[in-house]
Amino acid sequence: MSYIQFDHVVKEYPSGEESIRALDDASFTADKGGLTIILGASGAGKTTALNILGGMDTLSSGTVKVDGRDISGLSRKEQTLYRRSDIGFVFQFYNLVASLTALENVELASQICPDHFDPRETLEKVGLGNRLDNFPSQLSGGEQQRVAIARAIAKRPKLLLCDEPTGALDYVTGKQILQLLQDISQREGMTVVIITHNTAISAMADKVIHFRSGRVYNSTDNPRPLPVAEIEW
Amino acid sequence: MSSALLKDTWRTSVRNWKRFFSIVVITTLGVAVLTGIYAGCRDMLLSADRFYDAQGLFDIQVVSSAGLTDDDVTALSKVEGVQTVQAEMSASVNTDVAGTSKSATINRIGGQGLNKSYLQEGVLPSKSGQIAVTRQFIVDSGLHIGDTLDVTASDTDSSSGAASAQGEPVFPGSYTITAVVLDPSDIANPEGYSTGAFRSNDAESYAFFVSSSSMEGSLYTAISLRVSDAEQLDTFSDEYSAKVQQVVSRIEDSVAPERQRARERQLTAQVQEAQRQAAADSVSDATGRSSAEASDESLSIPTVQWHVQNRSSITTYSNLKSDLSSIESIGRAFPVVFLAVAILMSLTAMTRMVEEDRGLIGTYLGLGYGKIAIITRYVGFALAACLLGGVLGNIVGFVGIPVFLMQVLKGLYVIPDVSLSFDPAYGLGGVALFTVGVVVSTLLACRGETSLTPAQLMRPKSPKAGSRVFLERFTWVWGRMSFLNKVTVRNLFRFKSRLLMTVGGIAGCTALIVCGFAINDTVQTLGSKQYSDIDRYDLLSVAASDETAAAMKERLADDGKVKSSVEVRVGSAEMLNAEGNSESIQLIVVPDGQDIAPMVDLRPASQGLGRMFGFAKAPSERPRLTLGDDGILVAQSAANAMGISGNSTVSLRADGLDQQKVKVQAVFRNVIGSDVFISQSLYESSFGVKEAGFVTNAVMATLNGDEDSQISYAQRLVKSSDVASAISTADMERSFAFDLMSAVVALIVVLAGCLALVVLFTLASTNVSERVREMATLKVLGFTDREIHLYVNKEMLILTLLGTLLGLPLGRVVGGMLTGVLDMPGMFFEVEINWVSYVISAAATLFFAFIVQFSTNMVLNRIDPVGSLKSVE
Ligand SMILES: Nc1ncnc2c1ncn2[C@@H]1O[C@H](COP(=O)(O)OP(=O)(O)O)[C@@H](O)[C@H]1O
Ligand SMILES: [Mg+2]
Repeated sequence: MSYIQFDHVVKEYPSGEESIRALDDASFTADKGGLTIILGASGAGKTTALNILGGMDTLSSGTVKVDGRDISGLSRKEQTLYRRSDIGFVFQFYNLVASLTALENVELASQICPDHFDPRETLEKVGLGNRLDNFPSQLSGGEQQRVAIARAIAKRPKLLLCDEPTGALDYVTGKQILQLLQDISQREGMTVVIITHNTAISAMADKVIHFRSGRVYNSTDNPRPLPVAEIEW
Repeated sequence: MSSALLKDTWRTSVRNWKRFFSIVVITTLGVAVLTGIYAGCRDMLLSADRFYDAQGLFDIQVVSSAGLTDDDVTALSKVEGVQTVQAEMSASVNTDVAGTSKSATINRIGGQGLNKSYLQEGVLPSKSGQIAVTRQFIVDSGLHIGDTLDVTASDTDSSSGAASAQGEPVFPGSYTITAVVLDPSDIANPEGYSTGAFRSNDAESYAFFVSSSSMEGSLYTAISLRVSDAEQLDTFSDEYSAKVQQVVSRIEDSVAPERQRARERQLTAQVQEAQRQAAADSVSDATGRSSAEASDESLSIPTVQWHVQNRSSITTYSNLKSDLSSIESIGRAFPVVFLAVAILMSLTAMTRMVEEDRGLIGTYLGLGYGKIAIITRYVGFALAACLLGGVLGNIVGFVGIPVFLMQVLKGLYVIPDVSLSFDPAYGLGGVALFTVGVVVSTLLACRGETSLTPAQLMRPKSPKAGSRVFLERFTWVWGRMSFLNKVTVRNLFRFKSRLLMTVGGIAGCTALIVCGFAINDTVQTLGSKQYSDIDRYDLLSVAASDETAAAMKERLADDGKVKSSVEVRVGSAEMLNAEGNSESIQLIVVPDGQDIAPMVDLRPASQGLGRMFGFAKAPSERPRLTLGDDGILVAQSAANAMGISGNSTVSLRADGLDQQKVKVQAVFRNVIGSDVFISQSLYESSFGVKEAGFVTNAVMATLNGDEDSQISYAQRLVKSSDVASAISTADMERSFAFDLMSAVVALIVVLAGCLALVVLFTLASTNVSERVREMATLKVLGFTDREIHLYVNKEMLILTLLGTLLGLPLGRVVGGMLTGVLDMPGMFFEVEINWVSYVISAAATLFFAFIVQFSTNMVLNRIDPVGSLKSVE
């Protein structure tokens, strides 16, 4: 049984008389501790799928199970608690709280989770051990994204979900971030899902899932993922 | 504007309904406060003016110490600017009112249509023996139309001398009441609640009206004049006063001296004639003496003194004017706060709206739309909100508030046909004022964003940088704070302008509420201050006349109710300041050698800043004042409105005596009433009454027994025909109320409360809108709704508390300034704020904050993390 089971999920957005099907009977699975990459054109339903997986959105029909737990019928409140204990999110925009230092941004997440990593060590892990007391405005884009990742993983989540984490970064910095995510998956054994539309980087993943018009049209396992440093695009 | 842009403008406006609503409500409140109190007063004054004009109330009235004649009438009618002249005839009489003899005046209804009484009920008298009375008389006497009314001529008039008896009015002694009328010169509402307590005349006099067939004579009591073209003017306006004053001066300068001399010659002739008669009668027995006697007597002919009065001499006219101008001054003071808050809030709201549209503005500029077109979007939005608010504000201001005020004023004054009216200058001017304020703040808000290039605009605005706060230097404190508290502190200092706006806005509203309560508390405590602290006597009993004074004193002594007493002379008088403004006062003459201290606690009045901010020395710690022989002591409540202070010189016109200048020794603390103390020696030397003999006619006394027994004793006492009035201070204290002021207070508190609510709402929604992403991030992290509420509300709560704490003393200061604003004769606003009022004001503000918090929580709950984090800010 897979760690993540996304089973015949339909997500409809009401839009006037008709409704938009963001997800149209999408199904996939992913294994514990693996790095999964979701690929697809813009509007294919990737974000929708990730949001449902992360307990940020509800689905119209189908089932979603994470670690054996069915999360498709969670109430708003249960969703919140699910996000709190099980999910770490990383977005294209880093969404750091500007009035808090790097360390405090991580603490913001860790202090609501009883079972968390030490914020300081987490920041050291992402390579920002010497920037603990800097405010977001004093950090570069890549550094800010590292803080965001540290904040996401400090909660010791079951899933680390990243929606286009390198979308706003330059090539080199983006690569470093991806390397970091791969390291987290491999060293910490954390289950990581990354959305991207850069097909080239799929070589770094354990599993690649292709979305098209709300459906999963291809899902391939990659027995030998490459280190990010060896991938060029 | 292209139609696409128009469409977008419309959608933006709909989306921003909260901001629209804020600006509409703030403008409504501001315009309502600005116009409402003014409009209420104006409607009342205009209605009074119309009423006065309809009744032909005199503009000028001439009275003389020796009566007036037909020649005087002719002379006055020739004065330039005089339109109509009417000779008035009246007589002082006594009549029985509910078992007590009371003084009254019978007035002859004039032939020129001046000073017409307004018929409320019945038919105006036309035949001899018919009489019209006032509502006051009906209320007090219990008589009705058709009842018989008996009067006896009172023989008081001694100053005019024996000779003036010639031509004095002759009238029947018994009448049938045919009508109840409203005397335009007394529009106090007899059935309304008593506000008069602090300005009522101790010697009350009723007015009766009879037709010319009921009263004959050739000597007039007064001559009433109407000034040409004065009718069109508002009688309470400066133009009116100036116009009338011109004619008054003309009369005083030319006609008066000439006619006074003529009348003196006439009186002299009359006296000489009488002497010749007498001499002729006694020629046989004492031939030699008569010429010596005659020259002796001719000296006793009094000098004839004219008084040329305008409408200010009418008590209810002056009272109405001062009542309304005191409320109006409140109405002028508060809108400033509202305007300031409106500008602050629209600046906040519009700046945020423009900021939110940052990317959009960039897109429009990039598409080639002009700056003007974009600015028009926002100015149009603000303008529409402002104009809608202005219209609503005008409706509240010219209908709602006036109707409310009139309801209260109707309890005080009777004015038939009060009607609402719109003053375009004020109404539109008020809207214009707010519109300019709001539009300028919108332009300021737009300036920042539209001056950037499209490319800059399309990039996200760098978020406000965080920084260390001073508190972090105190590691000891900082280290002990919980994580979320640290976050709160950081955020407070991060949004400095919001901190200032919130604290300022809330402080302003709290101050307004405190101010409202200050007025209320002050009015509440005035009674006990005056009648318990300052007036230590329990009873002031005034004799009906000098002749009955002895009988009254005897009665007081026999009743055994009096603990201690001081005899004084009490009379009404006019006090004029250097500018010639007059005020009616109660003149209390203290016999030489008498110490008034056991009866009245005379302390110097507080002055200046100490008074304004409430840190003046407690009255009981100030040195006691003793009445000297070279100056008078004037009540602060009488002095304040007239700008009189120690060492001023004022003129006093005591009843029946000529006007004399006296020095003011000091102003004493007194909050209600217009008492002036003068020593017997100064009184005698100033007014030359030594020869006539000084008599005390009143007794100030402390009484045995509790308050109820004191009140009933005073009520029993006044039934005696020897007593004109017996005032129990316990009764005065109980009955003191100033409903007009309380009503205005209620109005201000309600409006200030609404303002506080809108301010909090605007600030809270701006705060949330600025930080949607932050909240969305917290939601993504798994913060529960409650935790997010706490995260946001803690900041708002701290700011609200700070604002409230600042607003309380601010309210005290603004309240203190009201003393200067509310200067009305007979009342001194010694501002006093009960601690309960501070508590209520703070609680009210916090309650509003709580309501707003509740609505903010709803908004926070609705923030959708998915949607909010999708795009760049
Ligand atoms: N809140 C929404 N309301 C209506 N349609 C939506 C909403 N969110 C997403 N969609 C639609 O669902 C589809 C999938 O969107 P999304 O999952 O964001 O795509 P991707 O992330 O793959 O680019 C799109 O066609 C989009 O228009
Ligand atoms: Mg997407």
